[in-house]
Parts: sequence; structure tokens; C-alpha cells
Amino acid sequence: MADVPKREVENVEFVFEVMGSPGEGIDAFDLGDALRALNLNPTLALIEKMGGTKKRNEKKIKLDEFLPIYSQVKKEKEQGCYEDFIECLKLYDKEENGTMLLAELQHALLALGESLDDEQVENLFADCMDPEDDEGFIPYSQFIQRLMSDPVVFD
Amino acid sequence: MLRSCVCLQNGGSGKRRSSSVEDASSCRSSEIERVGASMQTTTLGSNGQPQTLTPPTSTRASSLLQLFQRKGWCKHFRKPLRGMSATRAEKTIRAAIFIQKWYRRHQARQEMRKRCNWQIFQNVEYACEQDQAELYKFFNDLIKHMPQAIEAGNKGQTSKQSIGPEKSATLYEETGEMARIQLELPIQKKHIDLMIDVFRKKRGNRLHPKYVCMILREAAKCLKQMPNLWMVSTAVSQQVTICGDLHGKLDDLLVVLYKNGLPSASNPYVFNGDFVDRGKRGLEVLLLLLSLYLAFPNAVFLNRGNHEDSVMNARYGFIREVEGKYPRNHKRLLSLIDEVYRWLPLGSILNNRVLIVHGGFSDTTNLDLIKSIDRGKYVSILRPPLMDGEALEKAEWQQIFDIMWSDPQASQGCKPNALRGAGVWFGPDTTELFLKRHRLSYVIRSHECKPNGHEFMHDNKVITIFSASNYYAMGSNKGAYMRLNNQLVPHFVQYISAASQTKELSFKQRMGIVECAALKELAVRMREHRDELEADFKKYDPDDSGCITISKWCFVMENVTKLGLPWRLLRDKLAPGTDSQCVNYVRTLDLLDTDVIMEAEADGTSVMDALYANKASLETIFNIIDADHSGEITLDEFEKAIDLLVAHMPGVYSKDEMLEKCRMMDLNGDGKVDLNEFLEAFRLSDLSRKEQQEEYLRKRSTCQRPSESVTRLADTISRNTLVVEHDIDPTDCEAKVVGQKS
Repeated sequence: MADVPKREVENVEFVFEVMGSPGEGIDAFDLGDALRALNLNPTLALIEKMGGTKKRNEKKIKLDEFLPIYSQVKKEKEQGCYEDFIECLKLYDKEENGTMLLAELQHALLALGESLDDEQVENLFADCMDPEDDEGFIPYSQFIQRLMSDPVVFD
Repeated sequence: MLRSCVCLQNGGSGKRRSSSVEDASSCRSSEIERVGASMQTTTLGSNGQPQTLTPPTSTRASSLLQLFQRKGWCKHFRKPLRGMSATRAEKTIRAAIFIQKWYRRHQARQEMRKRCNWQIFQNVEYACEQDQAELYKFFNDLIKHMPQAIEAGNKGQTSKQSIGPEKSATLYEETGEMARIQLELPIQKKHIDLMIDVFRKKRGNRLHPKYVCMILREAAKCLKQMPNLWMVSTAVSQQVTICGDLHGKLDDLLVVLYKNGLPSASNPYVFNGDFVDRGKRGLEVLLLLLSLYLAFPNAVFLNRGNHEDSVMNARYGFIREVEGKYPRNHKRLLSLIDEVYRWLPLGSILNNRVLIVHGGFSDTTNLDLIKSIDRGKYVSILRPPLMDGEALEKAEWQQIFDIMWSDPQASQGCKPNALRGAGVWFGPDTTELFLKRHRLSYVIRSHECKPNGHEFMHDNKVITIFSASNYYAMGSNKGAYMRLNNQLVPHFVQYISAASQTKELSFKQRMGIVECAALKELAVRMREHRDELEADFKKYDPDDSGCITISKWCFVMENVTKLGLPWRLLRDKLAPGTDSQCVNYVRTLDLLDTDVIMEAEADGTSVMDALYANKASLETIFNIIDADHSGEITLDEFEKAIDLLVAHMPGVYSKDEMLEKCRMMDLNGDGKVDLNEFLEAFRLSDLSRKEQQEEYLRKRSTCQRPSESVTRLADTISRNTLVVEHDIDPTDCEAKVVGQKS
């Protein structure tokens, strides 16, 4: 059995109750969301490596199979912190005044990395972004702060 | 706001196409793409599938991607920029990945909070239903343990008896604004249009009580002639529409009628029960549905739900609603409504192939038996008629309970529904056998709120349809109605009424509203157990420090409330401002004592209030106990009844309190109690209990003020659960058609 502290096992049990069906566990399609709900932050690539699927109803993951996955993903350290983000977004800050073109950020999110779709980007900006000024610029540090200030779900 | 980037004009659908360089000269990210193009990177689309941006990948690209996945690479990139565009590109991609990762986590957490709120609402709702079912069991036990009652019961109700005052009884004038329209029989479309116009308004939307009586009486008269199960057919109309629970949400009913048209021979409707309770416009929903039935009798089919029951209405708000709207005539109206309830058919059969009932069925459900029941006996399903031949009655009750109260479950088997306290949970195997036995194709039911207004279960053989949007709180869920074509292939229309109110809010604000509403409901429910909670908390805090460990806190919460909720998740809300090491339970108790929670409690109805409000129930108890019909009961006899009541309602009253009540009741000290003393005693003792509590709180508030964080949370709850009344505008809805699930 993976070395997961008892308190965290209780949290995992709750997530399984919410996302899974009794006796069967969760759908492997939901592996990523389950890990994220438990305060972890894996990339899509990592989720796939750990057994996540692209479609529903292909595979189920039971609680005892999940715990070692949880343990391992927890060990991945590349969480990133506020300064990392700011450093990256500074690349877009041509005037070096803490603002960048919203459209550029949007484009990056839609086109690069493990890209999001239109609806997700709209939701993200609705939640965390100030409205752009007349020239289309936004203050990115506030955006990052809000993104990271998600209240913790589990203790 | 989001479409200003020129590059996107060439491919903003999320699928990447190469951007034109000339247009995008100022756009940094396209510059990165150009560089990227030369590096031939692959990206992962939002579904996780790799997509190649441009033709052939080089080994350089794949090593770049590997670089991202490798542990510790971010440290590698803290080296200062060397001005190489390759590093910039990598940095940007890294930033994008980080933001995307964080966003996905943000979403997953929101989803978890959403589900947590949902579970709160659902578990509190079902726990309250359980109480009502317990009341029913108490009655049942009373009858069982007092054998004389069986004979006494012969003066009980049969369907031949008509309950309620005679036609000639007077109506009293009501004060306040009343709609000036005039209605007459027979009800026609023009009357429907008038009624909708009146009911839509936020003021002056009350019909004259004489019209209310007219509609109720006429509807009961017509419904009485109908069989227990409506036989519905699409032979003429070629289609049919089915609506689920409305629960007093008039705005949703108007949305459905607006989007789907009024009923007619070519547009028949089945309404699957639960028209009243919880929502504030239950009376208007009921009157409108009954009027639609009277105006289009072959096109409207009304099934009874578990809330078409005065015992439920006493607890869930409909009786209060009627009392509030017609303070001088409510008794008369409520007894006419009871008449409608007892004659509402119990379900519908569509084209001899599909069963439509409110709850579901069990492994013993027998439609032939149901067709032959004298349904008029059951004015309230929760208050049994008293008849001899007890054994037969039980089987019949069981049949009715099962179709009104059951829920489908994912696992196999069929077992009593412990969550609701009545009916069963039925599994896919039960469904298969049931359908085979009755030669049916599938079953449509309601009874459970679903986030999208509908849900398929049991290999698409059980469909839940729920038509009350924003049921738990504004923005909590969509409602839906079903349309079946001549082959009975369904599609669904989902909607939210008063959509503009939610659209203006950000996701966070909407979440806040739902969350605060959930907390309020939970806190009100917890208040019922306040004394127990305090006692148990103190047990684990011998030093009286005010703090206990989080595990103990969670344990007490579950042990006392038995709500099965994720207490760890709720800790930061229910004990605000404390950390996870030491939970300040005093804050939890203080939260329960804040004005907003106490007002919400006063707004609602406790199980004892409901018992008293349902005077007929108390009378029934009295009559059962008073076996010799002397009009009085001895304190001895009453003590036996107390034992039973306490067994079913632990924690509400202790035996000592009840005995005290007994002695209080005997106002003239002769050792006997008559009906009026009996009723007064319940009312008085409940009153004195409330007064005691208020006195206690007044004393507390003068010496101790609650902490900042508790006050702040109470304010937030208060602000977020404010409801603003508007005229209803059925066009203000957000609707979506959802096709058949294959």
C-alpha cells in the first residue's frame, strides 16, 4: 500500500465518492481532475503516463490503484511559483510596465503548450482577469495572483 | 474582449492553422510560432492528443518536449536570457503550460466545491424527508400498539365520504391587492391567457378566493372520474411532452409553455407530480395546471407526486404559502386542495409502452393492483386511513409508497430507501424484471433534482426528468422537459429561467450564491441539534479551551447530524478563521446563533411545527389514543403514545419533556385531557421552548460577541442569499436542445 497519510486517504475517499461509482472506482478519464481536486497539479502528459485515458468508459481505477499514483504525482516538484510565471510573462511586457496584450496571452493559451479551448479561456479570463484597457493591455501580475489564490479544497 | 488578436482571425476555433506573418508583425506569439515552426514543435491539444503544427518533426522538437516533462527542468531555465529566440520560445511555452495546468486545477477544484454544495443540499433535503417518513411510521406504530384503534378506525375515511366544508360555506374578504379578472366555467384558453398575465406580475397576482375555490372544486370533480393510471397516446398528436417536478417554480412552467406552446390535441403534456412546496408560487402553479387540465382535458395529464400531500406541505412550505396569500380563507382552500390531491391519478401509461410515475417502482410493484386501488382513500399518503383488515392496507400503502418515493440506484438489487425513509432503491436488475413483467419499453420518472434537468440510468431504461431550474439556489441547476416523437424517441430541452440574473454574474459570484445558500440550509438543520452539538463538543474539550482537533470536530458533526457530508471540506466554512490543527467549535455554535441563520430557521418549519400545523394529524393521534371515543384521554394512555413518539423522533423531545407536557395539558387537574387541551398543549410547549431559547441567546449576546470571522461569514451569507422579486419574463431564459443519448 502506498505511503499516504490517513487524513489524505480520507480526502481521496471523498473524491472517489463524488466522482466514482461504488465498487468500480473512478473512470480513468477523470484521473486528472481527481488528482487536481486533491491539490496536485499534473500536466496532461503526466496524467496520461499515469494511466489516464482520453475517452470515457475505457478503464476504471479503483481506490487502491489510485493511491500509488497519487503518491507518485505528489512527488513531482515542478509546481511553479508566482515568480516563475511573472518571469515568463515579462517576455510579453514590451514596455516593461507590468502589462501585456490580452490577445497575446489568449493566443498562447490557445496555441501553445497543452492548449485550452475557447470556452476554457473565456472562463479563465472571466474569473481572474481585469477587463483590458482601450489598447488591449492587461496587468498580468494581478491575473497570476488571482489564479493562484484558489482557496484550498482539502486540508 | 477576446477576439482582438489579428492572428486569431485565421483560426480561432482552437485548431491551429499557421498565421500569416504580415498581419501578425506586432504579435509576439506569432513570432514565437515562426521560430517554433522552424523548430517544428508539436503541441498537445486540450484533449491531450498531440497535434503537429507544421509538417515534419525534427528530433530537435521532440527533445524540447521531453525537456518540459523532465523533472527539475524549470531550475535549468532560471539561467539568464541569452537573447536567443529559442530560449524565449521555450519560456513562453513553459508559461503557457503553467497557466493551463493551474487553470485545469482551478476548474477541478471548482467542480469539487460544486459537488460538495450539491451534496449538502441533497442530504439536508432528504434528511428532512426522512423526518416526515418517521412521522408516518409513528402513526403506523400507534395503530399497531393500540389495537382498540382498529375498531375506532371504522369511523375513518372512505372514498365515499367527502371531506371539507360544504359548497355553501362562506368565503371571507381578503385584505390587500387582488387581481381584477373574472373567470367562469367552463375554463377556456382565454381564461388561461388572463391567468398567466395575472400570475406573471410580482404584485396583484392573487385571484379572488371564489375563483380559486371554483377551479379546485371543478378539477376535483373531473379528476374523480379518471382511472388510477392515465392512458396517454400519441396516435393523434404524433408527439408528447413530459415535465417533471416544478415545486412552485412558476417561472419555469411559463418558460416551458412559452417555448413549447400551450397544450392542445396536437401538443399533449404529462406533468409528473410535485407541483408545490419549496418554491414560492406553488398555488399559482397548481391553479394553472388544473386550469390547463380543465381547458384541454384530453391534452393534459397530471400525475400525483409525493409532495401532493398535506403532511409534506406542512413541512415544506405550501401550507405556509396558502396561509400567507389567503389568511382568512386558507383552511377552506387547503381542504379543497386535499380533495384534488386524493383524486389525482397515480401515474400514466404512454402508448402501452412507457410508464410515467413520480418516483419509480420496486420488485413488488404490480400495476394491475395499482389500477384496482380505491385511490380516493389516500388523502395523505403519509397519514394512513384507518380501516379494518390492517394487513391488506399495508400492502396497498407499500405499492403507493414505492411508486411515489423510490429512487434508482446504480448497483443491483432492491432495498428500502434509508435516505428518504420511504420507498426503495431499485437496481438495473429490478428495472429489467419490471419492464419484462409489464411488457414496457422504459420508465420516465422525476423526484430527484439533476444538474442538467435530466438523467439516463439503467442502460437508458430509466429516465429522470426534473423541470425546476435554480431549484436549490439561483444557478444551482438547469431544468428540462422531454419531447417524445411517435416512435417515443426522446430529446430534451434544458433551460434556466431568469437567465439574465445569473448571466450578469461571474462564475465566482454564482458559485458564492450557491455556496451561501447551501451553508444556510445546512446551518438551519444543524440548529435543530444545537444543544447536542454543544454537549458533544464540550465532552472532547475537558479543559474548556474552546478548541478540539479536526478529527474530533468532524466526528461530532457527523455523529449528531448524521448527514453524511464531507466535514473536512466544510471545516473552513463552519468554523471560520480557525486552522486545521485546532478547531474553535465555539465559532461553529456562534454561527448557528447569528441573525441570518435564526431568521432562516423561523422562515422554515421544524418537524414539530409541521406536526402541530397539521392539526388533522394531531386529531388523528388523539382519536387513536381515545379508544373509547369519550372525547378525553387519560394521562396513562398518553404516556404509551409518548413512548412511541420518542422512539421515532429521538432528540426532538425527551420522554420527560413529553410527560411534563402531559401534566401541563391537564388544565383542570382531573387526570384527563380533551382534544382542545391536547392541541393547546403542543402549541404552548413549543412556544415556551422557543421563548426559552431566545431568553438564553439574549443573555449570551450581552456578555459575548461572536468573533470577527463568524460575523463576516454571516454577512456574506446574508448578502448572497438575498432574492429580488421581479415580474416573470418567460422569454428571459437560456434554453438548449439536447439530442438523444445513443
